[in-house]
Amino acid sequence: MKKYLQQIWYEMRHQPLIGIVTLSATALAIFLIMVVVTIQQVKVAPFAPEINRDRMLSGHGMHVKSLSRNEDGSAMAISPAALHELYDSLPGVKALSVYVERNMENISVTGRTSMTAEVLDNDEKFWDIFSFEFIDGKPYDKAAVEAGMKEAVISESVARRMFDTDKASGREIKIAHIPYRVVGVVKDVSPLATAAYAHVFIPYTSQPGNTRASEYGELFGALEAFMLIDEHASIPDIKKEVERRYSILSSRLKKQDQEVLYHGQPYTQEERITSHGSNNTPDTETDRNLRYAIYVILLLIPAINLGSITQSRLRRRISEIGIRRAFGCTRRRVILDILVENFIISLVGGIIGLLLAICFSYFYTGIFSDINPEYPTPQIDFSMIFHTSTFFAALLFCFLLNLISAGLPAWRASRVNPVEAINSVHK
Amino acid sequence: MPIITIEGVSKTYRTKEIETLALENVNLEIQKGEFLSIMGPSGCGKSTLLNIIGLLDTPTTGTVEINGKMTAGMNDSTKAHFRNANIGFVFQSFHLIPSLNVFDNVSLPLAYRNGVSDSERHRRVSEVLERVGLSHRMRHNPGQLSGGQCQRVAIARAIVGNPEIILADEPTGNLDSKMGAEVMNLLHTLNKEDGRTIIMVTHNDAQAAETDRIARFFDGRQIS
Repeated sequence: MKKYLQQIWYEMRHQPLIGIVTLSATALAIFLIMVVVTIQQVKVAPFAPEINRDRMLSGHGMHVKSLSRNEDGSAMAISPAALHELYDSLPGVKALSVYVERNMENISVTGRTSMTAEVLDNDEKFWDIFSFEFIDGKPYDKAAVEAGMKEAVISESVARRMFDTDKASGREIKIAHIPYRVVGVVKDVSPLATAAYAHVFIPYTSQPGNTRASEYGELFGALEAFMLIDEHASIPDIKKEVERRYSILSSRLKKQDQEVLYHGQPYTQEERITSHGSNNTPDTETDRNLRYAIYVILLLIPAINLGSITQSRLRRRISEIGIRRAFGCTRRRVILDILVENFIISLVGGIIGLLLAICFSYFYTGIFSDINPEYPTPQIDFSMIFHTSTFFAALLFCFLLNLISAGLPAWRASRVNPVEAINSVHK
Repeated sequence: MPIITIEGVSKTYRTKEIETLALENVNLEIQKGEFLSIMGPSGCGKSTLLNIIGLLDTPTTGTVEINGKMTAGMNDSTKAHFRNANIGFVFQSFHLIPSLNVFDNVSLPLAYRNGVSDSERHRRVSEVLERVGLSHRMRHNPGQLSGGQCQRVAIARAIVGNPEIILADEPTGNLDSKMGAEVMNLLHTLNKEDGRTIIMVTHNDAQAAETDRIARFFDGRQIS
């Protein structure tokens, strides 16, 4: 390692411009790639309270279509009966939580100016799937959900706004003018946590409309589901079972001239964020391919430039390579040495690029605005944008950048005739 | 017993336009422990022969046998290991690696040899630097040394791996007479004391006269 560092340091001192350009180009390339990686990670990687994203599935919406009429069909959230038929007691599922899509509601407390807040109707299992930090009180329990109790968990900022304190358990708050008792206060959640984000949480059973089927049919309703799967559960197996249940449902609907279309539910986090409505199958592959294409472009363009710089650096060292060959260095070793040297430079540039990407993501949160576009610029903390996998991704990109930019120049250097190489200093 | 046997070696360089015969039917036997000078005018094929013996170049026709091994058919890796174990090079322009200090330059052949520990490398480099009188310059860079000192470092590098053969291509060509004499003394010591075989290309009649034998070349042919 020492000899590689010596060589790099020597080149840096003797060709500072080339050194700076190489480092800057590498840093810029890794910066751009890591910004794209970070945006994707915020969408799919676990962070509080969505710490189980990699073990979480979501069943949302159902697509029902007429068998005889040529139409697109209808899609919406499902009824309690349909939800239980499709998602209850799935093998490998540890917890099933029922929820209703967030609604903006009026929140008020006697003697205070009212406010509007996002209200999420859910059940007690929700608190097992997501990891909320309770500042005060506790979540409502199964009994409260079954009884349709008017209990609420509110966010820290709502508590402060309504009660001037985050110790608000036991106080009364009106949600859509209906009184609820606050049972817990949780830390605010970033809108980037697209599944768990809300300001107020109430048992879904406390709103009678949630537990009924819709007027559009017995299958449609207001409910959706989150599932936490066992660590070793197979997602394809769970999907297969849900698909089987869909087909049973479909065959039952035949006499009503209807069928339910299966779109790959329940969705993984990646599928959930890619999904556009319940009447489409999420196309994660296209999304992924697009991302890979961006990575390739962001790697190739600087790699070609860096390749020319490496070629030029090696041309100056061709005599040295000849000498090394004369004293027993094999062609393979020439390539390896050049790649290792270049990788160290790439790594330094990569670390600079990674740090820049982290700082940029931290301070310029606008890059995440499309994740949950209805809400204002989200709060960011490092746990959202930096994961161990981020570091390894940067390492991998440095390695690829090094391989693409130095591979060919290194191979060419190894093929140079040693005699010509040794004598090149005289030319 | 010859350590190097060259039989019918010819070397032709071909480009699209021109074909140049650098060596023509060279037959030469070099005995173990011999100090051979190769002389001749520029372009007569001296360096080409040295490069062929050093496995840096391949003959167009003919065979070269070194230490009982035919060099024809060796692949790149085998040649590299063979060079590393058997041959040390000394060049006219020293060819020290500017980014490495004296110690690292000298230890270069050991870096390409398996099974040499750090302590062993340190011992061997110190030993050869002591021998060429430069142990006090171990941490200096080549740019801080005189021409004579550079060539002594180059000789130390050539012998650190303990090769039996040293190929020296005009080793005093870039040195003044005093430093040239020092380098020649060193080469003679290596020949006499260690019994190393030395093949030296030179234009200097006096230096050649001090060696065991002179092989003269003209227009690619050995004339004596």
